[in-house]
Amino acid sequence: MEKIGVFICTSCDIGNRLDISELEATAREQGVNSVYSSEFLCSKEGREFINTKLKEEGLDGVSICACSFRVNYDVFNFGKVAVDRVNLREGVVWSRFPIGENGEILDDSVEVTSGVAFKDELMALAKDYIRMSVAKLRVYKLPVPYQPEEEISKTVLVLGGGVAGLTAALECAKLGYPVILVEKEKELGGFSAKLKAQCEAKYPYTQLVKPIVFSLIEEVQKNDLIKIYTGATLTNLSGAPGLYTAKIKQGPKEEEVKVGAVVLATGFKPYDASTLTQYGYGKLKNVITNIEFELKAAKGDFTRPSDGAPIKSVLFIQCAGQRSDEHLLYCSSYCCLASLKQAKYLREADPESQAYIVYEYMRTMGIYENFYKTLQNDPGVFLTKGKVLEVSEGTNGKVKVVIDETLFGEKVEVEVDLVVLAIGMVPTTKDEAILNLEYRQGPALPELELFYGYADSNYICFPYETRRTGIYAAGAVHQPMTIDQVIDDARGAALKAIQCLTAIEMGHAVHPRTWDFAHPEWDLKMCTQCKRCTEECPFGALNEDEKAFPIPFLTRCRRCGTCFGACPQRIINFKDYSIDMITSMIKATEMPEQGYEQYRFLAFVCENDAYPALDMLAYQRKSIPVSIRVIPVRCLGAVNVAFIKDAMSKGYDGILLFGCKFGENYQCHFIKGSELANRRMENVQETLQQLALEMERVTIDTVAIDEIDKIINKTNEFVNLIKSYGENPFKGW
Amino acid sequence: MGNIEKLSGNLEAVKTICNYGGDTAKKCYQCATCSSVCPLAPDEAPFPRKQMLYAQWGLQGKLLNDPSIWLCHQCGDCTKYCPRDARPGDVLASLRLLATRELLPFKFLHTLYNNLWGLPFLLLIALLIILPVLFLTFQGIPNFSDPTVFPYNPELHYKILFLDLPARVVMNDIVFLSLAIFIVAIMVNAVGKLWQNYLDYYQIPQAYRYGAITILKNYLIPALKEILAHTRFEKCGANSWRANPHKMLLFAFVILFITTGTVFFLADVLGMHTPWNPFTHPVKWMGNIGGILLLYGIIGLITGRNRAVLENSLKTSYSDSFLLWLILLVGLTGFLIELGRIFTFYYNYTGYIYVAHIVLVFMLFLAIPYSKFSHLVFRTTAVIFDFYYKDIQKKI
Repeated sequence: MEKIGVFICTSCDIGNRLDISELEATAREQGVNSVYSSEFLCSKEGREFINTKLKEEGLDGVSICACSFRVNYDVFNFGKVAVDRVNLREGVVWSRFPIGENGEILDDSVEVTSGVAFKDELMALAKDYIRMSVAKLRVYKLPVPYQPEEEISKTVLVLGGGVAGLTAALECAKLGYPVILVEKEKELGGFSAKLKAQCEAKYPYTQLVKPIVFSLIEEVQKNDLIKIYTGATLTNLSGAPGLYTAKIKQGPKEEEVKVGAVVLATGFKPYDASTLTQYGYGKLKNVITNIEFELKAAKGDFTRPSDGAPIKSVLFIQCAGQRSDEHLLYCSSYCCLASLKQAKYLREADPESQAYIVYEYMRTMGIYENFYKTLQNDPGVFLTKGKVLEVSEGTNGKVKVVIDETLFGEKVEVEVDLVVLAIGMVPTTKDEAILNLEYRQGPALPELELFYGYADSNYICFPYETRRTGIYAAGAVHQPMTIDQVIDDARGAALKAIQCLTAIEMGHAVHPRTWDFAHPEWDLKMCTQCKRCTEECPFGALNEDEKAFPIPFLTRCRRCGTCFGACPQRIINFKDYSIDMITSMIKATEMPEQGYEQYRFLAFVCENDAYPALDMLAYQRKSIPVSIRVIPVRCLGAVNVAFIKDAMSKGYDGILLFGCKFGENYQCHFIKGSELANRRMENVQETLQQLALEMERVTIDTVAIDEIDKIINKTNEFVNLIKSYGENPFKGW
Repeated sequence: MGNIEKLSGNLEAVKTICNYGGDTAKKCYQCATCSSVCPLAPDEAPFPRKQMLYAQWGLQGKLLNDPSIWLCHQCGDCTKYCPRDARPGDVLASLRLLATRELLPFKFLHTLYNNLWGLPFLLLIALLIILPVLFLTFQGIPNFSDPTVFPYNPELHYKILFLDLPARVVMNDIVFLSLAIFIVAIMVNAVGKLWQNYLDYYQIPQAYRYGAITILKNYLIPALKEILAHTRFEKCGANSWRANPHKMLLFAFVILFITTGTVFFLADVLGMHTPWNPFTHPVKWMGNIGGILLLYGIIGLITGRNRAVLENSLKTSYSDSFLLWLILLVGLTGFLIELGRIFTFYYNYTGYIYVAHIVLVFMLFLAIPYSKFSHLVFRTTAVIFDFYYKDIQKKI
C-alpha cells in the first residue's frame, strides 16, 4: 500500500497509560501520509472521521491503533482499503502491568531495570506495534477472490443409497441442486431395507414401524433432479471441490461426470463375528449375531438353527466384541436399541416367550430411552447388567450362559434356546478407499487414528467435515448411529455440501476461514521440488506433476498456511500474509543495545485459541511480561522457520510459540498445523544448539482458549529462564 | 468358578406381582437410589434395589427367603426419590402379599381377601360359620330386634363342668376359639417354614441353628421392645406421620387383646358376666381406652395415607383400604353396641349391630394370615431373625 494513515484511539485507558503525542511522532517517523488521534474511534463520529480522511487524502491503507482485531471488525471495515489493527488496548494497556512482589499492580513509574521505568518499556512496546503495523501495510496487497477457469459444477455426488444417502440426495434436490446417487447394490435402501421393522423415528419413540427407507426410495425415484446409478461404484474422483470429475462404473460401462461436492454415505459393515469364539459363535449353532437374527425375524422364522424347534427364550449379549481391547474399542450405539427391538419381535411372536438382555451399559440414544422404558415394562423381558463368562452347550439343545458381575451380586447361569450377539459396526471406510481420490496423498481419507476408521473429525468444531474439503460424511460411515440420527446427520452433510459449492462460487475459503478471499500462491521459478508443501498439507490440496512440482487445487485449500510455513524457499505467499510481511515486521521493531538488560521477546500466537485467550486475559486485567511482542498467525503451521532466524538475528532474546493441542483430542483447527510446527521447532532447537545457544530460546507450547493462567505462567517462566541465560549474544550484530 | 446360581425368569410370577400392585417394578433400572435413601436398610444387606430386580425376574423363591421385604415399613422415601417412578415401596408391599400367599394353605382365601370381588364371599363365609353356631346356641332363630333376646338373653345359660355360660359367650367361644386355633396352627406352620427358609438362604451353620425356645428366649423380647417402641418405623422420612397412628393402633390391639383375655377369665371362668358398667368397671376402662386408641390410630392412618397418596409417596391398593376400613368398622360397631346402652334410641338394633360386629371381627381374625395384616406375624418373625442374625454374625 502506498498511502497509509495511522489513527490512534485515546479511549479505553490507552490515553491514560500511553503518551499519545510520542506515539504519533513514532508513526510519523515511519513516513506515513498522516497521523491522527481521537477519542472513541469505534463510535459513529470516529468512524466518520476515518472515512472522511480516507476520502480526503486518498488513503489505501489504514492502521487503526485501538482494540483487538477480534472486536469491532465490522466497524473498522472500509471496503477496498487495507486495514491493520494495532492492539493497543488488549495487547498493551490492559495486559501489561508492573507487578509487585505480592502480585499487586504497581505504578507505571516503577523502575524495571537501571534507569528504565515500566512506562518506558510500555511505550516501547506500543511503538513497536505501530512500527510493525506500518511495515505490514507497506507490503500488504488486497486479496482477489479465486475464480477457477473451468465451469463450476453444482451437482452433488452422493455415495451410498441407504437412509443417509437417500436423505442427503433428497435434501440437496429440495434446494434445487442436481444429485448423482451411486449405490453398490442392485437395489436402493441399504441395510435398513432388510430390517423386519425399525423403531419409530418420531415421538413418542416407543413403537416399531415399517422401515422408513421405503418411503425415501419412492421419493428419490420420483425426483427428477436425482440421477440414480445402482449396482455402480466410484472408480476415480479427480479434481477439486466444484471441479470434480467422477468416474462411475456401472456393470461393464464406465461414465465420467462432473460434480461439485460429495456426500459420503456408504454406511457400515457388521463386525466379523467369527472372532467371537468366547461366546460360542461358530461352535454352537444356536449362537447367532443380531444381524442374522434380524434377517431370520424378517422372514418370520423364530426357530432354533440347530433343530428347528420353536424359540421360547433368547438371551442377548450386549457389547459382544465391543468396548474391548481385542475387538472394537468403541460403542456402536445402535445395538442396545436393536436388541430391545428384537426382544419385542420375539415377545410379539410368542407371548409366552422370554427375552433376556445382559448388558454392560444400557445405552439407547436420545429419546429412544422411551423405547427402553416400554420394553422394560414387558413382563417377559428380563434385564441385568453383567459380564458373560462362558457360553456352552446346555440340556436339550439349549445354550447355557454363565454371567458374572450381575446385579444379583452372584454368578448366575441361564439356559436359553438361542443366544444373540449384539455385534458392532465397522465403517466401510475402514479397509476400502471407496472415494478412490486422485490425490497426491492417496485415494482414501487420511486416517487420524482417533476415530477407528470412521470418516469423522472433531465433532464440536467441525461436524461432517472430513480431511478432504468438499467431501462430507453422513450416517454410519461417519459415526456409529441409529436410523433416527442418520437422518439428521444426512441433512447436515447435505447442507455442508451446498455451503461448499456456494463458497467456491463466491471465491472464498470453504472452511473454516469462510471470510478469507486470499489464497496461497506459488512462485514456481524458485521451487526446488522438495515436496514439503505437497506432503504436509493437512487437506491434500496439492498434487504433484511428474517433476514433483506442486499443482495446487485451490478449492481444496483451507488457508491454514501450512505450506507457507513449510517452504524452505519462501516461494509460497498470500496477498495479505507473506514471508516478506512478517520479516519486515520483525525488522521494523526497535532493538535496545546489548548490556542494558532490556530484554525483547517475540511470540507467534495462533489466532484460533491462543490469541483469544490473550484477549480474555486482558479483559481480566491480568498481566504478561511487557518485553513480549505478539504476532498473531493463522495457525502455528504458518510460521516459517525464516521468521525465527530473522528474529534471532535481529537480536530477540527468545521466541515463544503458542498453538493448539495436537495428538489425541487435538484442538488444532487445521488438524496437523501445531503438530508440524512442533516438529519444525525441534529442528530449530537443534540448530540453536549447534550455534551454542540454549535450545529453550525457542519454545513452543499448546494452550486451550480458556487456559489464561497457563499463558501467564508459561510466559513468566519463559522470560525468567531466558533472563537467567542472559541476552542474545547476536544482539546488535 | 465359585457358586453359580441357576436362574430363569418367571413370567407368571411377574404377572402376579403386577396384579398385587407391583406393576411399577419393571420400570426400575437398578440405580439403587432407593437403597441409598432408605432409612431402614441395613448396610450389610441393603434393600430394596435387589428385591426390585427379583420382582422384575419373578424370582419368587428368592423373595420368599428374604427377610428384607418384611423389614421395609413402606415409608415411601424410595418411592419419593425414585428417578423412574418405579415405586419400590409399593412394590415391596406387593411382594409381602405374594410371600404371604405362598406361605399359607387355602390360597383361595388369600385371593378372596385381596380382590374386591372376594368381599361378598368373605361375608358369606363368616355368616355361614357364625349363623349355624348362633342358631344352635340360641336354640333357633332369635328375635334380632329385641336385645333382651339377642344378644343379651338372661335366660339361656349353659352349664359346662363348673362353668355357667350365657348363650352368646358359648357362641363366641365356639366360633373364635376354633378360629384362633386354626389361625395359630397355620401361622406357626408358616413361621416355621419362613424361618427355615431364612436359615437356608443365609446359610446359617448347623451349630448356630437354635431351637424355637432359645430363639424366643433370646430374641423375642428385644424384638417386641423394638416393635412396641416403633424404633424402626420412626426412622421413616417421607411418611413419618404413619409411625405414630400405627403405634397407637398397635397399642390398641395389645390393650384389646389383654382386655379380651381378662374378660374371658373373669366372665367365662369366674362367672362375672358382662355387660358391665362402663363408668365403674376397670376392665371396661381398659377396653374403652383400647377402643379409642384404635379409632384414633385407624383414622390417623386413613387420613394420613390419603395425604401421602396426594404427595405420590404411597399408593393405596385394595388390600390396603380393605384392612383399614375393616379395622375402622370393627371399632365403630364395637362402640355402637356399648353406646346403645346409653343412647337408647337405637337400642333395639343392637342385635343386628352385634352380628355385624362379630362378622367383622371374624374377618379381621382371618385377615391375620390372608391379608396384609399378616405383617403382624411375619414382620415380627423377620425382626426376630434380624436380631438373631446380627447376634450370631458376631459369634461367627
